[in-house]
Amino acid sequence: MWIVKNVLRGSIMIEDLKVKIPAKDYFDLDKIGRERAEQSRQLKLAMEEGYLQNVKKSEPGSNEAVLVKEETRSEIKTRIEELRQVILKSPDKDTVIKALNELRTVLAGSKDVEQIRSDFDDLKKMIQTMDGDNGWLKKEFDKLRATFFDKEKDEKTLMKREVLELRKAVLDERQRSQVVLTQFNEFRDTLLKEFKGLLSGMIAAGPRMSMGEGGDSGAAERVRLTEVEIKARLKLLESKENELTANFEKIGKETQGTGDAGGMADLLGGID
Amino acid sequence: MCAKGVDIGTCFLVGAELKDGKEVFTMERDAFFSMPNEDFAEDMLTKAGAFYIIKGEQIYVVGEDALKFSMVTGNQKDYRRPMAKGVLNPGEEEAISMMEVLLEAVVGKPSYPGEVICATMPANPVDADFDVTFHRMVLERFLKKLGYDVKCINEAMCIIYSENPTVTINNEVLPFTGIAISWGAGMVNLAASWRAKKLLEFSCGRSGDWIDRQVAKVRSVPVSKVQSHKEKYLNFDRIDPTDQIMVALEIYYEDLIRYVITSIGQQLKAANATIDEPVEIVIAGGTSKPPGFVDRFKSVLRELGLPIPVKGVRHAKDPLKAVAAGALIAAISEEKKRKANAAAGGDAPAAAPAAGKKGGVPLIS
Repeated sequence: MWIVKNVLRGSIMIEDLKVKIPAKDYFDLDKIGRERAEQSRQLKLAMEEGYLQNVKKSEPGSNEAVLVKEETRSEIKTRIEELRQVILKSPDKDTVIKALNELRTVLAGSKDVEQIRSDFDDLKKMIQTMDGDNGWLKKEFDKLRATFFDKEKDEKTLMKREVLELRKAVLDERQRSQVVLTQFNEFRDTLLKEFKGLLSGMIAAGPRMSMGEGGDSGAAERVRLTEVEIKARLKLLESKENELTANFEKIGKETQGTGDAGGMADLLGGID
Repeated sequence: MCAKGVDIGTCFLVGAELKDGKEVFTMERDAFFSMPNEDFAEDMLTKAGAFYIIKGEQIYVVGEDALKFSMVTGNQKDYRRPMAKGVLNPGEEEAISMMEVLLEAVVGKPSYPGEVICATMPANPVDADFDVTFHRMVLERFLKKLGYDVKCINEAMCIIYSENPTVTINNEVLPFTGIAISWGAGMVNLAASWRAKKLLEFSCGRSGDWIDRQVAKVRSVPVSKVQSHKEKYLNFDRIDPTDQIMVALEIYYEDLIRYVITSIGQQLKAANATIDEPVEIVIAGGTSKPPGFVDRFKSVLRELGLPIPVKGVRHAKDPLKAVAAGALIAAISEEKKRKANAAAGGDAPAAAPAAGKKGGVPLIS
């Protein structure tokens, strides 16, 4: 396996290999033969110029696919577990950010995470700028909405409803504290489903840190409750790991009928 | 008025609800296509705009996209269906999980907890060694889990509700009185009704899929080719005698019609039915869709006859949606009864319309 990534915004055509790699896409050069790829001058140039990035190059003949997958999975799991522990034991903002950065480093070459990197960055900034005011929340969800709404049939359309509901809740001053917390946790669950648990700790930490900085008398108690809730939710999420994940919420072709269902129902109901 | 209907068919799932007072149907192919969840499979499907489910190391493309992928790849083996012969496919290990995902995606979540949904169920077959209890229990439980108040309803009775066949006795028109036959992909379902009261129900374990298999066998062609040929070209008014698949389709269609009419006669006789007034027969379902089907049915009916008088045979206005429409009507009726009962301070409403006292004596003795 020799995976390279086109880091440009346009496609790269490597003429002497007859290979075209779309913008931001990945390609396994071993598919066209390791030896042939290594002899390509254009490929070499593209790598030197930084147009192509080496993601993974393993020894020829090894069972790379399985090894890479397992190795990455194992490392990611370890890091996530470390992150969880950090969040559960210490809600300190700097510690969380440090752990998140470590996790990002591990995931740097992962294609899945690549898709959500920008969101990841934005969420990180969100934590850094927390000042006890919930105004940041509205901005974040506006950004997320722009990201997820404009992609037709995107795998993240599941989040559409969640984001709307949450946004509504954030803007509702009367129910702010309790509803935001509840909705925020639901939103976190949706994200976790989508991102396979990678962002769990960070999202959970958000409301806790916000409350801590608010400094009201009930904060300590709520922090304890939130920790219990986090543990319960993490357990629930772990148990859901093997469940189905669908990229749709609604399916099917919609058509309008010409019948009078209401009238027929009245007729049916009127029979004694 | 919130209430929904859903036709859980072997070939299609059809949801029905009212939106702004208009019937709205959501239709999806009841199928999936499995492939390994390899490096770029998910990306490829996302780019293709396909709907899919990931489960462990497998990706399942669902609905209409499943058929497209099967056709494009020429891979028939991995084109799978959660239902067979009108019930959950006993030979398909993913049948329940796939059906649940598809069902939820078609009907959605209830508008409020306890919203009524009428789900169609087949009757027990007269010619196959299985019953529909497991099928009914699994789907009923799942819809309840989603938050619906579930009413299971015979799919042929749904046609009675949506098409409203009538009988006139002494100038009095009796609604919802007649015989309905639902020609699905897996089964043929029949119900006889008198003023919305179900008098008789049964199913035959052969229908459209059976025809396809028989034709494929005698013509040595893939079942998918027969299906495609049937859906595109079959017209009983214009059978090309040089087209061997068409000729075989015509033969097996007629055989199926004979089989069903014979079964109806046997069941009516077994029930000691004494119906004096001529009744109307309404036909619906995907297998009845080819042009000329109803005329062919009438022709065989004239030849074989039934032990009850028949005043006419007609096709449902929309044969693919008549069952779902009837399920919706039953659901709305149920919901209205509840509201009326609640307003009157009563308890739970009656589950189904009662048999009429008007318009005659009991029909089956």
